[in-house]
Amino acid sequence: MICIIALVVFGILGIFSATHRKLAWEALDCVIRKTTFRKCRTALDERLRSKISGKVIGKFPKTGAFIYKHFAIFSYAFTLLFLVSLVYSGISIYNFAVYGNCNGPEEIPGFCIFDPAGGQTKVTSSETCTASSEGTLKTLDTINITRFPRLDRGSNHTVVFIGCYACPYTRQSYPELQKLMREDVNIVFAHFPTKGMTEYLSAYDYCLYEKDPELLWHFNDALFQEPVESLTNEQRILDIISSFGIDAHEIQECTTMNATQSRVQEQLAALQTLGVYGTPTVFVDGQPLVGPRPFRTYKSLLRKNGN
Amino acid sequence: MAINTLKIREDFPILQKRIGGKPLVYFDNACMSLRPKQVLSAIQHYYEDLSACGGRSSHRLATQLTEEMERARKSVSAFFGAKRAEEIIFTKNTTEGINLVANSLALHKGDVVLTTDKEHNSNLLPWQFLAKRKGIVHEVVDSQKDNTFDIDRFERMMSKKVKLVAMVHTSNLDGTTIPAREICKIAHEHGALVLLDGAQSAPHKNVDVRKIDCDFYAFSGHKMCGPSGIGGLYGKKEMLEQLQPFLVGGETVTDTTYTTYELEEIPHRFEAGLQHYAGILGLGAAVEYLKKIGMANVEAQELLLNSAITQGVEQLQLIGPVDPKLRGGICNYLTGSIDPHALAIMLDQSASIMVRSGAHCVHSWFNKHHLKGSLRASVSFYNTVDEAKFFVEQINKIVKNLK
Repeated sequence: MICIIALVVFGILGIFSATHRKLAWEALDCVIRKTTFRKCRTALDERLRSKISGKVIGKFPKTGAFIYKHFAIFSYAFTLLFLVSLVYSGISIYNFAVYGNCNGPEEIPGFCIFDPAGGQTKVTSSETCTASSEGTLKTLDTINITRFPRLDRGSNHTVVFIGCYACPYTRQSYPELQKLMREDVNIVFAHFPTKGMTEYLSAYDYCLYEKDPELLWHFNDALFQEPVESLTNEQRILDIISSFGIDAHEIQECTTMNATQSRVQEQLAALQTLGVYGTPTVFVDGQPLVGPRPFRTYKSLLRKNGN
Repeated sequence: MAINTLKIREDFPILQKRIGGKPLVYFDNACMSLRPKQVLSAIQHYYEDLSACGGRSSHRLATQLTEEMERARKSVSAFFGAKRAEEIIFTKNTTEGINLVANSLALHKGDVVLTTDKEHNSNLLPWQFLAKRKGIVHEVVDSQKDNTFDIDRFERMMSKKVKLVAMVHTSNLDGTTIPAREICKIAHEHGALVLLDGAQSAPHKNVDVRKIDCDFYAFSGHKMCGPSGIGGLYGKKEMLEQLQPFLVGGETVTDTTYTTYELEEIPHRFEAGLQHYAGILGLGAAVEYLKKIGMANVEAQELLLNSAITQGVEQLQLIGPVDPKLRGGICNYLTGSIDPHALAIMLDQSASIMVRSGAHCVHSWFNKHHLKGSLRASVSFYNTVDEAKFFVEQINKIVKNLK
């Protein structure tokens, strides 16, 4: 059985070394003969058995002898482990290609926890946060998604991007959203302030979108490039808005209106109903992904759904 | 006179090295000996200072090389007690020497060639091939129960039909040495010639071909501290003159026309083509080195080592007689349920002890006894008693745990 492992290991090493290439051939011969219930002609298995046991027997005679005597069992166990790890490696490679990580769609990389009071840890990392410990997302049909800013292209696909301007993971993920915006998809954007300090920006989102939907996307581009420290500086926000060639004070006035505040609260409540607990949260045709993912992951899901 | 082994070991560069972080314990001398720096220098001397064709060109390099080659031939001839230097033919190794006799001697259909039952393939296959090709009869003299030579059986098998007695002088299987002088006497009385395979006797004991009175004696350089790829065949001059060379070409003739040729003198008529000059000079240096050590001292040191191993090794069955005096430098063990190859690898991996495992090219003997192989430790004069004790300790430890 050890020949199976030897075949793979020596096969890879054999790409670079002629000595190992010869051993790989011996291992192949051994595997073929063993699978047809014949004795290994090259005795590679016996040599490996003796070499491994020999290395140990000098220092630990009993252990070395034990390995030698029970080598077949060790071989089977290691081969089994090897095959299992080979399968998992294959799955991981597939996941990496499709989802951008080795653990598949369920893995949660770093994301920002919803914490408006600011008393908790502001961000998580993949080591400390899992979906189960944070909550369960509901499906999009539990809320009225039409109440959020939308870039409608009449596509069959819709990506809902829920992010926070101050969240480093949302900021990391935003360029991927920009790429998505160049695809044939409808985009819905929802600001989910994981910190209280950026909550006021939701109102600016609404007012700008109401004035001209295009303005919101320019506003997003600008805010995600802005240093996080500037996001609490409302004057800086007004300067950004002014740079779009519109009256910033008019927008500022809009943010204080009851209708605006009411819509912002409605949106926040809808996101909480949806079960959003951190950012970024992205729904690709209804399938949620929490944490930043590469563009290919989103693209792959869109392709699956017929793009 | 006891030899100073520690001083001798300084001559062997490889013994100063460590293998896998441990000192090398080399107990595979029956397969290949180690080389002292004197031999290495002789080889280097050829490539650095001479590097020409011997026996052909007239320039100074060539003539100096020819002189040194002939000096080496004289050294080798003296080492084996030959009457004349020209009785030594340089060959590639023992195998080539035996094949030279087998293919050059006038053997005909029905002629009998006798061998022992412990022949190395080198002294078995040539006769099997001749049996197929020419119809000679190859007969085997079985050993006694303790694996020593059965002289009575041999005598009974001798007849006028026996034209050649081709036997291993010292066995690489168990180290036993046949009574060569007695065998030669009996063979000659029956009109047969004697060829001895001296691969294992030449490096380990005083061999005097004239005292033994053998007709041919083949040996290898690589087993007697000489370079690989060089060996020799001793033949009595009158016997060599009767042989028809089977390898011919450059150097083997003095003149040719399109239809005729005139053979060179002995030994050159048997040394076809350019020779392994570096090897010949190295072999000359090797025999000089062994002479300096003294073959009696070599034999005594090997007996000391063999005794230490024989007394120390437990739980393994020795091949051949128990008395170390009868086994030269060889301790060959049947390993029972343990695979000898596995044991050899373990000794190497765990303690950097190099031994040989398998059938040692004596497959016929193992097949006869329905055995798969054995583990052979073969010592030489540069091995120490401490090494022998270390080997004993290690093999006993491994075997005890594996059984």
